Amino acid sequence: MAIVEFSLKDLEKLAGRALTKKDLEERIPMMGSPLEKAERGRVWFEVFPNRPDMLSAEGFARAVRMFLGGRIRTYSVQQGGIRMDVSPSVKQVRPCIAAAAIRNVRLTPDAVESLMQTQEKLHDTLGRKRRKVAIGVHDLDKVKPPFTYKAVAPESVRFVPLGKATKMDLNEICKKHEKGQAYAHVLAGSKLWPVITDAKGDVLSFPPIINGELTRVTNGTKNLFIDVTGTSQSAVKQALNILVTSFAERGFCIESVNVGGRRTPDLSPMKIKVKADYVNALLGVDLTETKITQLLSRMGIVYAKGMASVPAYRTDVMHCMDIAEDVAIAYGYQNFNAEKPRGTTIARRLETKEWTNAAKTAMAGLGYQEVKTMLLSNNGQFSKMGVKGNACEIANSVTAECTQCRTWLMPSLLRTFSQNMHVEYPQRIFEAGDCVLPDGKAETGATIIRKIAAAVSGTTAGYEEISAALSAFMGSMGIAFTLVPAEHGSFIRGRCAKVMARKVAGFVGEIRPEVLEAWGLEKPVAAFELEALKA
Amino acid sequence: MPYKLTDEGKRYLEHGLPEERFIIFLERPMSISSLKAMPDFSIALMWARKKGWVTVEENMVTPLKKPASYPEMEALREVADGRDISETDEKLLLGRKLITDAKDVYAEVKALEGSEVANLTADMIKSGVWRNIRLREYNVAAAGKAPFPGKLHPLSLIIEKIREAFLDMGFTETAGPLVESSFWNFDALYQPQDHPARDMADTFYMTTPSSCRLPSPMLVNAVKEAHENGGGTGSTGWRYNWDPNVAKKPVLRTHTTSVSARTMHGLKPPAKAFCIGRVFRNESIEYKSLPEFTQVEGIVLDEHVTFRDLLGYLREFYSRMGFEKVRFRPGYFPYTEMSVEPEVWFPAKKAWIELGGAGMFRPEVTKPLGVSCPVLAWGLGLERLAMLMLDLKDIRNFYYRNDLGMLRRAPIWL
Repeated sequence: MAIVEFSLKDLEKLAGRALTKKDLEERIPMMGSPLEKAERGRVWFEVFPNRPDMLSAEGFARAVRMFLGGRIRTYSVQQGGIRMDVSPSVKQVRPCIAAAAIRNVRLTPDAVESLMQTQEKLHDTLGRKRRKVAIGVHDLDKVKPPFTYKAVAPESVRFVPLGKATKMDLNEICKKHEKGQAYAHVLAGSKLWPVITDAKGDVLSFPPIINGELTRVTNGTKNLFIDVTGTSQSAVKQALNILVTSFAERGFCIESVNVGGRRTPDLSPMKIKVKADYVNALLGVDLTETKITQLLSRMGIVYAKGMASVPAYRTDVMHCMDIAEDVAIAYGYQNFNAEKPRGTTIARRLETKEWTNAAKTAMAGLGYQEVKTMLLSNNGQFSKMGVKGNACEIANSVTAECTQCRTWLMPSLLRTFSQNMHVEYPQRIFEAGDCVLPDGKAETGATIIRKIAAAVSGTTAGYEEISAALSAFMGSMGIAFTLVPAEHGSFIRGRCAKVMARKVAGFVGEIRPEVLEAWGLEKPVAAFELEALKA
Repeated sequence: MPYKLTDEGKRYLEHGLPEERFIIFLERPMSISSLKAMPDFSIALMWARKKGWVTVEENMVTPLKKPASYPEMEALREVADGRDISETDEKLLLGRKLITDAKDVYAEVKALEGSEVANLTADMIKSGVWRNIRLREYNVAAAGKAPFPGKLHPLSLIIEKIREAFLDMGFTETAGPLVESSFWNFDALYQPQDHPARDMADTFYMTTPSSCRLPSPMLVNAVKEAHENGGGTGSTGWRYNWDPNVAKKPVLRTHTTSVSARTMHGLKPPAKAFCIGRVFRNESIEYKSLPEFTQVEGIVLDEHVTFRDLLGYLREFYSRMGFEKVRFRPGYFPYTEMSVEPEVWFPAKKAWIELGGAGMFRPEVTKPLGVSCPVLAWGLGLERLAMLMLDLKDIRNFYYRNDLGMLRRAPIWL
């Protein structure tokens, strides 16, 4: 979820109109960009992942301007003379590149702030944290074209990275520079690393890590050079289009670069066939072609004779359904007549849920309070319980408490007691819930077991009480059962029985003092746990 | 048969029979009016006449003879000492209610006749003694000490409410795996394999199990085509090389939409289904975040439904949740187009609250699953709703921490 921050004044200047409280709080959110907050002349909006073009102040203002009735602006690209050669050596490491020059630049503080935010947000979203797309913005006048994009041995190239005073080779940058440490993993596994150099061999950029200090952009920068590198040509193209059209919104000139024989950027619109009938059938409305044209123009899309022209900065349009959504947004979700549900279908309940509900009612009736605990657990479900077992293991949990799926409920009940030692006793609790076991035969490698467990804790809690509760519970559920003396690591020897019945299996007994101690419990606990057997 | 003395019997044993005291006292004929003050006068006179010791004429009582012994007294003494007495004496003493069956279960409550008692007992009711006692009045304004009730968890009640709402609307209940393949959790929902939601930072991946089986090659290929080139849906697709090995990776399901995808596969319209279940995100346990929560999701497959029907279902659903005012904002989900973020008016907070998400499944999702009609879908996380209803701020109140004090006090009518 991307939250972007803008100066309201800058936004208004770019949109070419004042933005009222109503615009900010009611109309702009209806474009699909809710206002998060507004204070001291600054505004924060959420931008959905399908609209990276709205991550920049310029792009956001453009969308707002058109949505509120402003005109569609078209952008022209001047053919420039700059050449960028692409060496085949980059294929193995970072094959895609596009570039552009921006002329007549006047970098106001607002423009700089917006550029920095746009670059950062594009890196994080569309760029997948620089793996898929990374952007370099340079002072064009500090270097001499033609440029070369190539992959080199890390020790063979040395330059002063942005923010440093001394030359470092690529290896040193990855080890010592903050950006190197943060992003070196993107290049892991490759022996040659990408650089962009100029005619003199000076380094502009070491993508996706860092630019050279040489091309640092300052207030006085007049002309910009932009490189976008990555692993997906379409994403690289999209990022460049978003950037250059943002600059164009500030009145700067876009100039193309010859990148390995192709001219970039290419701002020609995407054409997609969209029939009015299709839109009407999908939305349940009856709009004329003219009306659809009007609506789509508010989304920046030119529509005529069943053909939509989608501007080059839009990255989200894959199917005519996406165009239909733009029609719906421009029409206003609030203006659709909601249709009361009609048509008959017959509902079916899951028997397991019904059974569980009955079981829960039975336990509550016995004075046991239902608890709902986490399905995520850790090895404590075995080690603290004096038992051994296998669980589904999580590879990458950020929380040490959550490294396995629970295989039984008893640990959760004891944990609940340990959290409630200040609450009046006796405490009687139960849980009915899913447990997960590894199962090589199952499609997903795991299987769900539905269990129910109950426990009582207090000075007089013991086998007599819990076995009586078990008996009453089984009676309520209509299950005939027998108790057979059993051994179990969690229960006191001689005070544990196996529950034998046709539809369920489980244990009942008094919890061992060493288990109580492991959970930090000070009062005796007696408990049972049952699992529903598959028919 | 064992007997014991009644209160009357005990008194006579101590003070003598009334007629005994009477005949000893009566040395000469005396008027009734002058004798009336004697204790037990009526009883004494009745028995003295019956036994032929006195005659009564014109209000005058005249002694006839003085008996040499008093068999009742002797019998009373025998009973008091715990010895058996003759059948004649038994009849006599029982008739005069001087002795009673020692096993008389009501003896104790009968003793209370005429007095004020604290507790109305079953014996008082069965013996009829209640007619002759007064029940003490209580301080009825003072409430008793609350017992610890056995109750369902508030989340269970909310789940049940939602479940009933869906069932009432003709939706069939479904369930699915918790450990799920990336295929069903992501790929079948047209989430590209480099989508941020699939990052290790967001999704729990598994070491056990290490791999899932993919469904039929036909379905797998259809999904692959949809990702790579739109698969004949008219879409451009995501334009990358789809990798079946990535789809085999097991995850803890991140949404119940995986269940919707499984349910949709090959389902013929018209059909409605819903699922309520636990879902997981790789997040830390904090005030506002938990790595697991409960999601509910419903889908409608119908040849004739449109975006307006989606809004209608949402209105109906939320009104059944008790929210009469609903409004809709555009939203975004990778697998729906016309994505909606419903907001409900929450009177207690006097605010519009974002609650859930909705949309129509993209053809890149439905076509590979063999569904050619529009599919409406919506879902929401239950904890947010529960926190609003219960006025809780800390999400750790659910699952992570079960505060029994709070649960014992929690209302079950929400």
